[in-house]
Amino acid sequence: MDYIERQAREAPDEFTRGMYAELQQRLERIERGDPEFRIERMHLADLRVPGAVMIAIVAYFLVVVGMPS
Amino acid sequence: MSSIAAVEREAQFGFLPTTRSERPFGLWDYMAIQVGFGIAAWCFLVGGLTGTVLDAGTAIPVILLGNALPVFLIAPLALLFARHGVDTFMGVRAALGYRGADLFFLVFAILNLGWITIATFLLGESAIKVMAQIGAPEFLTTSETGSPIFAIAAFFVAAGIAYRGPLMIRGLVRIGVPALFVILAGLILYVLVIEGVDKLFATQPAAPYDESRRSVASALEWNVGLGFSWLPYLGQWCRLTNSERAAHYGTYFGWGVLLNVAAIFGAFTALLVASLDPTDWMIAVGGVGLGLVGLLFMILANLTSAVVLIYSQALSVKSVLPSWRWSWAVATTFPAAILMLSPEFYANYSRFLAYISFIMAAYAGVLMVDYFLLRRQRINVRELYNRGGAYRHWGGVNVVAYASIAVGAVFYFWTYNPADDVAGPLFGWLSAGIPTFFLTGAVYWVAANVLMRNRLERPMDAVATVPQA
Repeated sequence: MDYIERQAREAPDEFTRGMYAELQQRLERIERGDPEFRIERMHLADLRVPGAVMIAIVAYFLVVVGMPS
Repeated sequence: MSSIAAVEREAQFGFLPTTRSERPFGLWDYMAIQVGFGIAAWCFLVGGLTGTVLDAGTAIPVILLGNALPVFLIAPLALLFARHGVDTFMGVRAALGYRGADLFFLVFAILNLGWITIATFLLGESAIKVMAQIGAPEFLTTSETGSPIFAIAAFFVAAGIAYRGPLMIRGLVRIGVPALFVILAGLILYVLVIEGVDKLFATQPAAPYDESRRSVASALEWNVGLGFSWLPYLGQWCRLTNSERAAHYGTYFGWGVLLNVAAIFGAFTALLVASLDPTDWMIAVGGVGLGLVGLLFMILANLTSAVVLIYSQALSVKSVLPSWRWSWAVATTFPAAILMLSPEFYANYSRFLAYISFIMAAYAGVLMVDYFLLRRQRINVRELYNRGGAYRHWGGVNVVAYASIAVGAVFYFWTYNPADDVAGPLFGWLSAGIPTFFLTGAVYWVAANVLMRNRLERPMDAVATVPQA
């Protein structure tokens, strides 16, 4: 019996027991691959927009404040 | 539903991995939420600090880079919290260990007391200016006596509202957040229409350092501190997004880019008014009539910020320690009242930002290396919750991670000593927070590859990661 099961059965208050029982159910669903726990993944290509904005900000900083010399 | 029941429901929701149907935020909603949560007293104050040492032309890129770069560096961690739907202090257990994550939570709670103090003391400063205008007794109009009285009173009002739970808070947020946007709109109008761009760019800062490079480095460090300060708040928001891209983009563009509008116009106003204190700006910008309205809005906005900060901390306590009573969880914020007894903490906001810059940069370096380079984005969700399980490391603490953070601390304080505002030889060229992030991460990567190879591979064999969508 791991910590989660122990809490679900033996925690001193009902609130904690209920919370861990619900957690146990959700973890089982995650381990079964339930699509309800999947969201759309981000890919490396998605970094292009924030990356371009970051490069623009760094370039702006270097032009105005100057390159360390 | 009673307030306790509503709180328990929220605590349970904060504790559990979120399902898809429990995630309300798409990209645009999430970005709007981040801007609404992020734009508050701290933006105007960091802008005010920047505007006292830099001219307008330099302040803009320094504020932009100072906030955007640290958020860009920590934003990939949004994937960890969004993918698994877990809160920050659950998600970091793989990297830090169960007790190591508890220690991170303790650090967050202590720093959160500082943020609560900043918000409530700014409220107190606003209140004494209102008192001065209406001819109140002198002890209610000074920073030494009046501000602590109003700050502490406001703090207990805010704690009372937070104790009442989410419904009351939502009502207050609906008034408090727009109040801040009205103040921001007033500042934009003042800078662009009343004073004009020519005057703004011709105005010199009121209190620059002797060397311009030092002014830039210090201002950069203050903004970097604000940028890194979002790290412990990442999980509670990212777990509510319906895609990883929404979590990453919303974090970066909300906290890293859009929030800068408030800091930049704060800097502009500080330049024109020659004061870093936002409460000084209101009367200077709007005259007595509009100034008083601005101060009242400032009071409302900072009360809202204090309520949200108190509630956020108490809810995190309740999630980490479910058996605690809600009143005890709220009471963990009470030590903030001690910091409000004198104006000293509020007056040392720049030092507070520097300490945050060090602490969060070092933690962020470790967390990024652990999740992306060492674990290659594979986390066992069950083991995050299973105290004593696979992420036990050494007695519940990842000693290697904390030793790396200690190395980062030595480097930071060698580069810059915030207590005495003394800069080391590298500070003018690199500032301190950003190199601390990279150095701590590099030390952890090397040390973990040498000392933790077996420990890193073990939980991966029986992994229960979320499958690809």
